[in-house]
Amino acid sequence: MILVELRKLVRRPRTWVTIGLLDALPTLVAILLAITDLGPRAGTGPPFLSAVLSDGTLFPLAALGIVLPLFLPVAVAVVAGEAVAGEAQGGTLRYLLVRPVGRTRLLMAKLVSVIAFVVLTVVVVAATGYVTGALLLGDQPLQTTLTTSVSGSALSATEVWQRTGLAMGYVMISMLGVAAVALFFSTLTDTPLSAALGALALLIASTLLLTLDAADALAPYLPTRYWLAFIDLFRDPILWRDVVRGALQQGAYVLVFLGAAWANFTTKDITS
Amino acid sequence: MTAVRRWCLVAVGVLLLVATPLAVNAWPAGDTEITARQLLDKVQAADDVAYSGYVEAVGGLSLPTTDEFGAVADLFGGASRLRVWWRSDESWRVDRLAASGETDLFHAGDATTTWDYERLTTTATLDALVFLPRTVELLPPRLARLVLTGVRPEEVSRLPAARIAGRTAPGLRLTPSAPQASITRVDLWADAESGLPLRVQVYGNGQGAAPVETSFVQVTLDQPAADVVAFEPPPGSQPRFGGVGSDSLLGHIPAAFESRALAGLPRVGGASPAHLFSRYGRGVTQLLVLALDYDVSEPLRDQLASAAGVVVDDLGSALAAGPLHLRLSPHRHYEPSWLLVGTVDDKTLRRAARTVYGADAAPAGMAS
Repeated sequence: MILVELRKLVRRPRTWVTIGLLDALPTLVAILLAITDLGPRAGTGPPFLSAVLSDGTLFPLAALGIVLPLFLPVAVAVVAGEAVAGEAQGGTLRYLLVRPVGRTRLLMAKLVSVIAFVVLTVVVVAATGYVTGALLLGDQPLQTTLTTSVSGSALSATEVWQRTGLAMGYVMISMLGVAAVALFFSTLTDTPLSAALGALALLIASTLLLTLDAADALAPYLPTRYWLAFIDLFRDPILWRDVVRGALQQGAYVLVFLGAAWANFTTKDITS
Repeated sequence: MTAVRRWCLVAVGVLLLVATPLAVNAWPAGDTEITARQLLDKVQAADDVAYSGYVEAVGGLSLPTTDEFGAVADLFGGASRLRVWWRSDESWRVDRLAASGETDLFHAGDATTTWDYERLTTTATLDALVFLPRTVELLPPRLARLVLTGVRPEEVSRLPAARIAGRTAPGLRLTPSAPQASITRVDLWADAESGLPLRVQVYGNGQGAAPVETSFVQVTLDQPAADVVAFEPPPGSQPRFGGVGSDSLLGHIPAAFESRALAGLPRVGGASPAHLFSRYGRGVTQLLVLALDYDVSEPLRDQLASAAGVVVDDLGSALAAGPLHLRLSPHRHYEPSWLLVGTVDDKTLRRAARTVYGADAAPAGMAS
């Protein structure tokens, strides 16, 4: 079942078009930075973007920082929102469930498929970021193999690779909550767009509430609260506090919304 | 399993996930029998405790944002996330974290190096006698040390213990007895074992919420490693020497006010060695008198002219930001401007201003 869903994901042109569009923005930013040599002012812009002018090896992180706040969650919400509602809208859900496949297993297979999409997207964006960063950005001498951490210490190439890997893993984990929410909405409706918009509404509300001091008590529960904590992996020593909290929070979102999707979907009347 | 049971299961799961952290935070701390006097002694004896941790601070003071004072306004006017490694007063590191970078202070001996990731700059400065507050002043132990200097035993009382950063912390309330005080009380909680202050709240006149609060959310009482507090400029970075405290006012003080007392407050520590400033008061009731030259006073005066809540009268421009009151003398040609700033009420500040402005025209040494 999982293999079937994964095959479907990889063979679908829409998957690659979405990833391509996601990849286009950081690539455009890299080209513009290379041409103009103008980085964002201190304290503004996505993380690491001001640093890539002198060190192109950090561009995979800047690329992830560019797509993480909006474009990546939109893509994940669209893909996850389409998972069950898309089958219902296409009239294939009935036939899918005729097979001797439990609904819980189907849900799990859909979630794994969405996770695979996230992994694929993050890897492609980071890899493209690495190539464009190495080719277009960075004015330090080639023999310089050290990268400056956020805390000013020197990181070896191995440390940069390890921390970049951790950051990619964290970005993937950060998208699990969106995926679970959209998947839950996808079991509520037969319209994929409604499911995706429902998940996005939650994310927009979360982003808005994070700007209000009055909502401070809610902050640890908001799904976007710890998204940008991947920068903490480049502090020295690494600050694990928000990274761990972010990972646990995403796990909680998956538990709750996957549970809700399961509670709703297992006895839902399938009419299409 | 029926649909109702499944939804009940999900509801119980949600309840557990939401309630568990709330319950852990609300778990009452076991109090100790320590008296207020004993706790005060313990806190004052904890100056040499080494620690590291993560601090969250919130300041509600609306200060003017000139080039000279912008960093201070930012520090005491908003939220700060700090990481600290403290080996001793001579060796420490404080990082102020931002969403896309950090600004770090590395202190060794009498020199401080500032690393700013977003500007990729390294600045070394020698400590000055007078300097503007930095992030390090927001650490609970540092703020506690400041507010408890000169405190009398009869001014402190006990507060119930709290659990802070996973440690039991008996509380202490300081209620200043000086009639000039604009700080109504300071609440602090210190680690029951070491006496290290873990949370400090400073309350001003007539305000319900703490205008300044700083608290550890993670703390370890081990000696931090030496290499964590040491700083090597990153490859390609050219360290800049910022002089004797680039954030100090040393180069800007053209005159001094000398008096044994001012507005009923005694002078602290005798005359300042370089006649840079005069400090009056005791404990949390402090008044600082500085003479500013044109380059510093005029931007500040312009900022005050457009800032909300500033009162302009015959004694200059006055601003109250929580318990902090400041007054800048009116502009006079060929004379320095006087800045009076402190945790005293406006009546005291006006009285002091009359004395200082009068002394400005007269020979130094005139007392009130």
